[in-house]
Amino acid sequence: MKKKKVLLEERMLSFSRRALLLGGVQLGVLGILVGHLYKIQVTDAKKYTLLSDNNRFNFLLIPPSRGSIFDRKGRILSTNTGSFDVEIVPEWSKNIQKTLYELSKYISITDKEIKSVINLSRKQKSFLPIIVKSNLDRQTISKVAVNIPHLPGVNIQQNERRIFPQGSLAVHVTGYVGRVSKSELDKNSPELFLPGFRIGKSGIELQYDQQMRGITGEKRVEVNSLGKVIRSSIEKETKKGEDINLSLDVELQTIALRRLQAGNDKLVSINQPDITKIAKNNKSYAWQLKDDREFINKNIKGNYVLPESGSVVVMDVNTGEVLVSASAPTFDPNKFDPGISASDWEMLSNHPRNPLINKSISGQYPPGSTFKMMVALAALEAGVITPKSRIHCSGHIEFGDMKFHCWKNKFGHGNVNIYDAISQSCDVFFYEIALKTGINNIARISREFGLGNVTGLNLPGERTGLIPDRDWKLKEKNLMWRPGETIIAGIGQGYVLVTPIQLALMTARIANGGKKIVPTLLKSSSKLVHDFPIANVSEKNINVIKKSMEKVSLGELGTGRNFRLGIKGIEMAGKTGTVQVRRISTQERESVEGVIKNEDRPWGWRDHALYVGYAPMKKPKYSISVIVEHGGSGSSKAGPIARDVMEATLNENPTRYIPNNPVNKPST
Amino acid sequence: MNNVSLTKKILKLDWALVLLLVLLVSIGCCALYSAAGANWNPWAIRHLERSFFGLILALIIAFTDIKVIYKFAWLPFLVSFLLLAILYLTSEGNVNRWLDLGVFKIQPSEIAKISIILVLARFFHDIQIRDYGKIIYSILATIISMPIIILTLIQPDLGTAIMQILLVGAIIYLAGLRIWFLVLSIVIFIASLPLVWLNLHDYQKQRILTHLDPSLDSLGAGYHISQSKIALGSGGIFGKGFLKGSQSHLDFLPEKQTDFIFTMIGEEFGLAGSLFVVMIFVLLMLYSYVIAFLQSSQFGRIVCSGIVFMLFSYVFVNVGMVSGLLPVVGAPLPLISYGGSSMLTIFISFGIILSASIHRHNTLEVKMS
Repeated sequence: MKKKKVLLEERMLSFSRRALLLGGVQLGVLGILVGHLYKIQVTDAKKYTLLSDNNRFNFLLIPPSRGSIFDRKGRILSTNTGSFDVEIVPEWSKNIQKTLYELSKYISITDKEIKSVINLSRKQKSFLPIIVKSNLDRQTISKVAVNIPHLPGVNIQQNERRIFPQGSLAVHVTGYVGRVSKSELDKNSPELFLPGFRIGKSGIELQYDQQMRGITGEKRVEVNSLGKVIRSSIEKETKKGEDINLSLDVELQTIALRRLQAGNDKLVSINQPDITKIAKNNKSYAWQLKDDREFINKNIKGNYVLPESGSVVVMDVNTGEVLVSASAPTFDPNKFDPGISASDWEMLSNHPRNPLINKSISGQYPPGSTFKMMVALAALEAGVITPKSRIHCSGHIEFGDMKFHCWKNKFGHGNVNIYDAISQSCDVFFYEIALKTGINNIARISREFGLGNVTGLNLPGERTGLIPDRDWKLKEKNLMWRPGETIIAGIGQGYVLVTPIQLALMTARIANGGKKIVPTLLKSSSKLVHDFPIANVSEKNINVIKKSMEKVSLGELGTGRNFRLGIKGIEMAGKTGTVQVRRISTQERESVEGVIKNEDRPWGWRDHALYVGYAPMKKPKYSISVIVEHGGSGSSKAGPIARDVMEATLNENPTRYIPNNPVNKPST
Repeated sequence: MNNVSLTKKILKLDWALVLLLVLLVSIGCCALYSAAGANWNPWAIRHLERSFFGLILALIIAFTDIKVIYKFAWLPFLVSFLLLAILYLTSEGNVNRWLDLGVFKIQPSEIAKISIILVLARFFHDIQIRDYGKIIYSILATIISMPIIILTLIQPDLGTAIMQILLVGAIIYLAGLRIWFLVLSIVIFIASLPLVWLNLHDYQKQRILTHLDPSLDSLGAGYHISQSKIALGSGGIFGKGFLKGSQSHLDFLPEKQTDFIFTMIGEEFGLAGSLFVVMIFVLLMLYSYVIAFLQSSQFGRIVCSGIVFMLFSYVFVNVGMVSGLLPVVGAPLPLISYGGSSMLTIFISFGIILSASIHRHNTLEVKMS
């Protein structure tokens, strides 16, 4: 029996040893478990808290409504309209592919579209919505809306689309908006990543983009694991973008643009078979027909031609407000959103007359005779001439072995003073005084009047033009200035280049007696006192120039005598300009036929027609500059346009100045 | 001599052990109340009812003489075998773990654990004393438990089967297995793993693969693990507060009332809460070990320590799973998770421990020839 007891004892001890060992192992394993819990709940707690919040909260950006653009009388130039998009938020949709197939029961989605959405969802952050289908109508959208509970992650977004109710009329001023391009993305502006977001790409839309965008709101949404919204709270209020009130008068803009495009041609309705035929054979015509014009130009010879191109600018001489800034040809910005077709884009960018360019600020032209005011003023200021000085014009001058011709080539103007020289646009007078005054003096005065540099207009894309002087030539061409170049500059040719806005500004500063106004496209509040500096030029001399410009209209031989304003008691002072774009060879000049007539040359070789002016003559209010590209002479083409536009500007009810629409009045 | 009156038995009852069980049940009720979104329905109230009956059952067993338990130790084994067999024969689908008994549904593989402990305890108690530790008996014990393990495995319930295998191993070891045989068994076990892998179901393979690399399937099984870890981690040291676990209440957490209840406690009460729960289990295990050491019979010792090991494996597998240390195998947290089968198993088990404690001086017949 003792043996049994020993055995029992032995077995119990064996058990105890083993149980202790096993218990130790168990404790150790639980220790590891506790260590693991410590790592998760203490060491990595921050990481998991963040993940938990990411699970729980979604931030939604609420895009603001973009500010509108109004003209000076409150007419809408650019605003927003609603459009429905169906979008999907990958984060909220457990299975995008399944959801999209479900969605395709209600709206037509191709497999390719599904693929591209899925691809995009892998590339970008999962809380960003992806547009599946855009610009849907209300009926289609309601089908999706009813079934939203079965479509996790699918959202209906009432997006805003930009529209320009005035079509192509003011596109060069308002500019247009477009999708955010890759280079424009900015991490500090998360709204730029929203699929429907549009930003200004040109014009006022670009210039005041920040103000017009408004402030993007934020919504914090608490969701459950199925993406169902449990709670939502506004974290940041959305604020609508600022409206922009322009100084532009869209009615005058219409008159100016239509009048510029009409030129001296007869307007005929495009609804005629032979015109359709022409349009088929010529891309430029085809474009013209796609534009919102309903008529086409028929010139004196009875040929159908493209409408005139160029620019008209009307400016308030006291405030610098720009009332008209027309550039032709033009295009419809509504076609840019949601996207322009490739063929339209090709037509636009390859059009020979560059509709995409705002010629008022980006078109650089030699000023021609419109520059003569600057030369005359420089001469008066330099004391080279007095108002009484007379110079003999025999039709040309010779300088070295060069011969410089006056436009009145055969007989010349005879003995002319400054008033005659400007009103009759005598070239020889200006050759002589330019030479005496010197290019640097001319350049100084030109710059005082706003030429040679950007005017400071609040519109992107303005170009400087060019006012040459000795330093410029040395620096740019590494050559000495030659006196012959001063002679050419005296009539606004050679190196001299100006933009239409600069010409309007120059004329305005003459008209207001040298007050250095700065052009603006914003409507200034009338209470604002404009404290502009005065140009460093004697008022007496400016008055001489003004008187000369008056004689352009009033003088017996004035180049503007044929297009005086039709308003009783109100006259317009101005200056015509005709700019040669090709050199007339001696051979051509002395041939039997004489110089080839302007209208017989190819369009690109014809002279530019210019006119600058201001009215009313006695108490100037508005200045105007007109440039008709390759339009012929200033007095026959540009002047009459300026007259009509100025007359409309001064009129209480300008509507009647819109060129008659031949659709209503069949041409015979 | 061994027949003590009921009053004496009540006095001898280990009230501390009962208290720990009640504490766990209470934690379970609170957690289930929170899991239902501050609602007693549908889980907390049922949990309370079940544990009430469970406790009664445990007390009944506690006051039953250990001799009786020893005598009928084979009975639960037979019952679980039958239930598992019925389950196997009636199962038409792929995975079926519940047997509908009309009144309630049970998971036979859970009940089987305690039956294995009982039958092996009796087996090792009954062998000749001088034969303890002989290899032949270790092999015999393995063969005895095989039917249950195989029936569990083919359900298929890999997680429970592995736990049963470990349990059998632990009992054989405690009964005096030679160490070299244990090492040999482990080697054979590891060598047979590829064979096991080939016979696994696809979803089981998937679970193991995702465990090794959760990013393989971020919205499937791996999703559960990562969401569970997020919930635990975001709880921090002191938690988000009772009823404030966003992961649980926004349904990011799967099965939060059953297998993932520990995660919810960890989220709402932080490391403090999860350590508290683990600590109670550790206390329960230590207490049971003490009872095991005080046993005068081999049967009592093996039963008590076997139950400790079973409890340990429940806690380790469940907490290890929800914290991402082990693959998702679907193991409940005893007395806290919502579910009758594991609760029944635990209450029966602790009823036996209590009985063993009360009747620890009762000697059982020892074979000696």
